[in-house]
Amino acid sequence: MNVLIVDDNEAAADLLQELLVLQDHTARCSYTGLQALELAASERFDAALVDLTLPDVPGVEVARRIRAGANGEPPLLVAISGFSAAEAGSGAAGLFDHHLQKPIDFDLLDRLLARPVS
Amino acid sequence: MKASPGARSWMAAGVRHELLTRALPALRHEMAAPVSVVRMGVLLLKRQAADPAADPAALVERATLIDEQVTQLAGAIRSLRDWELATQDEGVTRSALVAQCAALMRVAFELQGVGLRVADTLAPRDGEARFPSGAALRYMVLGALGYLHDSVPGIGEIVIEPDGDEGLRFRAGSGSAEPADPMAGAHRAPRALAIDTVALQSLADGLGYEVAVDGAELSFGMNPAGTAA
Repeated sequence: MNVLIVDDNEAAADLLQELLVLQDHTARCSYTGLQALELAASERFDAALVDLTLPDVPGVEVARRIRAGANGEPPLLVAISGFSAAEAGSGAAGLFDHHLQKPIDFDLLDRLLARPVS
Repeated sequence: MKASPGARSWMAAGVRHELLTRALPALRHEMAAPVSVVRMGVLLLKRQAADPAADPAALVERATLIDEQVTQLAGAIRSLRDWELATQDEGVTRSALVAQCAALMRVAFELQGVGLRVADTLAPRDGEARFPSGAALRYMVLGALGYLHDSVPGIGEIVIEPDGDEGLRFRAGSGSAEPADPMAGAHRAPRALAIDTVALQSLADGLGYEVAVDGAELSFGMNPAGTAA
């Protein structure tokens, strides 16, 4: 899968990218919401892992724009947050395909990213 | 049956419990990020170390990153003591109190569509007075934020500003900017235990502070009632 990682915690994003590459995925990092939207507009991603709390654009809004701007089937949208789905509020509900709480369960992430690429 | 002083103390303790319950996700959030980085860093470090051709400098760099995150995590764990009323403290300045509480709760409030704005006049300055009982004051700030969050319809922003030299004022409004997430808070679940005026007053009485509520605005003095300088 080609995965977009959106997280303002640069260390977390970079390490996750390394781990995904070791799992034979390709991955790009963006540390801001705007940077993520630019990347999503210029490249086709199969999945986007989006931190909900970004400094410039809320993660929910980033996900909404990625979904709206998708040419064809939208990428698998996975929310990543230190907060649970319930604590994150209803804005994220129905928008993301999955919600992963930090620290990330890598087995679960592996299973999510094992979805066949369309 | 008439409420005894003991019953009032229990009520205040219940309000503190509710406030701590609300702060817990934010406190946990502060720890989850470094733990997440440590886990990923250790996974990669083990893999690197198992490679006979590993670059020692790269291993040290990875270990340093992990060490930094562990330090951050230790700080977050240590900060849990800030919420223990029985802990002796050296007091807290007004600016530090507001900065700590706003930093802790900002993300949680933003996820609910409520911005927290701290007035420029609450920036730290030299020679600032320290106020006793930092833990109690943290509960008062959380109580003020919780009250406005639960009580003011259409709330989009809370402004925190000084009230004289020894007080804090909290004003709720709809916010000036368009919400980045228009759905945030639109379906906010009603609180089973809302911080209403009775709850806020119980909290203040239990901790010994005077609080004044006026619609979408409230204020309290940072010295316990009867001890103001």
